[in-house]
Amino acid sequence: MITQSETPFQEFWRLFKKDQLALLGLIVLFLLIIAAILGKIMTEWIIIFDPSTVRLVDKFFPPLSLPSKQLLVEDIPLFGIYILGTDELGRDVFARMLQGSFVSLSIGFVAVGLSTFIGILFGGLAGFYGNIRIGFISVDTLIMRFTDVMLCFPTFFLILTVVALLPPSIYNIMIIIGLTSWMGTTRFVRAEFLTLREQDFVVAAKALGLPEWRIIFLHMVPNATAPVLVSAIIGVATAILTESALSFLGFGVQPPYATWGNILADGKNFIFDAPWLFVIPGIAILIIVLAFNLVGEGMREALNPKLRRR
Amino acid sequence: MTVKNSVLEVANLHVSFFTDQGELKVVENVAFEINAGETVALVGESGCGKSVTALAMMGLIEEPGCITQGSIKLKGQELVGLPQVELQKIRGCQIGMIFQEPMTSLNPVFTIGHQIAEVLTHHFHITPREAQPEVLNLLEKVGIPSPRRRIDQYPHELSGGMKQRVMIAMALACKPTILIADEPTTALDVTIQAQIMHLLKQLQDEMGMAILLITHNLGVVAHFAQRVLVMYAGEIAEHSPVRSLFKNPLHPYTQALLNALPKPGHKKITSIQGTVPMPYEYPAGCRFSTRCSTSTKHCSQNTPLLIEQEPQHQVACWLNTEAYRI
Repeated sequence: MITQSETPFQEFWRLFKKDQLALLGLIVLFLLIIAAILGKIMTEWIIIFDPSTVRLVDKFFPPLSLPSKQLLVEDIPLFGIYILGTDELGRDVFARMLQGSFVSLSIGFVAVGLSTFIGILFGGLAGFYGNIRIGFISVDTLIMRFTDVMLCFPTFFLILTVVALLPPSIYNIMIIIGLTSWMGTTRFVRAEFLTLREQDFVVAAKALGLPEWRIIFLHMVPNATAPVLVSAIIGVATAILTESALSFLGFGVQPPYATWGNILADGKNFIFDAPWLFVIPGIAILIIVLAFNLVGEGMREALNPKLRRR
Repeated sequence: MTVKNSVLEVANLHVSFFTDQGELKVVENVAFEINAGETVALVGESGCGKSVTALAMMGLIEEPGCITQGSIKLKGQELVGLPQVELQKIRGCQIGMIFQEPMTSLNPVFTIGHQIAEVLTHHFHITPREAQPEVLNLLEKVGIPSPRRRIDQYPHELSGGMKQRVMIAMALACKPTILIADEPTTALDVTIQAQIMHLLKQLQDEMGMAILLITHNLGVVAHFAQRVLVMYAGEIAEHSPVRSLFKNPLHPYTQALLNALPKPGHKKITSIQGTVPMPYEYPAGCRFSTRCSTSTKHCSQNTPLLIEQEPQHQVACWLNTEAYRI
């Protein structure tokens, strides 16, 4: 009997599918990513939903309400309805949420991409070249103690300090979140590399005359992807939360640019008059963070070697 | 063996590991040469320095170890002290190596075709697509059935014997002049062992490479090697053609090893008393003197040299020499 061989990805997918919640999270993520990309296009390039139109006559309209009769024709929102209501300046909350979704997701992905890159680099160096000594200190000690030092800082206050010194642009926030969240990945990668380094296939690769950079990045990193990927996915959720918190405190992306965090911040002043203003971005953040965490957990389960071959 | 045509000459090789216990001289004064197309066996107990000798030849001794003395010449080119970049060109290309554990020697996340192709693409600077026919050819050569299907399989889908065949294909991809086989059959079951050894023999006849066979299976040695080096505690104890070694072993250690083989009809299996001493507790004289049944005071104080006691048969032992009788 010829059994169809299963690539590692097919195996992963088969195991991942079994977890209903993770699958739900993945679907939600897909929808959100599509919404974010469409949102970017529709709010900034081809303006269908305009997040910055101010309609002072229509302020504090609850979700699903119709615009008032006095409104100028060009200010009427698409479909003639405020899907998620309006805020204190009469801006369409739905359009602002769309704009904010792209900011949140892009900050999440770019920050985590940066932190994962640094994590793999540092963890790989510490794990592979750990025994080499630079003067009185080994590479491993140097990198890992630096990691410990970084871990000692309360990250959020470190970010706040840096943000206070730098102009608060979206790129600065991405870079700062990335530069302060690589420590977990570094530890994961180092731990993986310490075991991988002693594996026969690494010695075999050396015996085949492959250069070290090739062994590290093309042979060992793929073997260490599982924990890195899981921590990266969960890291995206953390980065989104951090960005929301920064924007909420007013250190994040500045108005008029909408992000979920600053919509929430604006909404907090009108908690009793217009509860949708903080409920909507709050729930959106909850859903996206939950979705990322569920997908991350599902991946952790599916990539767990103990659960293989089931 | 009248015309000397040695491809690999090892002379006066010393390898030490610098640890907290001080310098551990794991390999000392090892010298031998391997001729083209010849199979030389390196036998000895676990921990006697066989694998370290092999790794030294590959330039793969890692911190805290290093080659403290000696030379390794591959076709006249000195390998000791060569920079890593140069060594990388030689490893896998001129010297191939196969390992004890085929189960873990292949990278689990890549298909075997990818792994074999990588050797070719790296050493010959060709694209994976160009390497494809050669990969199929190699898989066929090492006796893997339906290579077209196997090429896209992952290591976990292959049996141990198959994986060892893949390892051989990888080691031979660049047609090396010498193949180091570090206990190639230890992890395999007996029927597969024979198949793998026959495969190596057959490939040797086809491609004409020399083989350094590291093993502790004397049966394999008797069948496949032309010459044997017996190592004990980091030194060469005996060096002889395979026939004369089995017929007339001169070193008490070799005699004891051969006696330790289970024989049909004998109920008891004899063993050698004690264990190989650790590198920091080597005796001053002959290193086997602590376990040797014929050792004298002279043996435990003076190191014997490897000398030719019979034609082509070198032994490092005071037995049968003038000194022993005194």
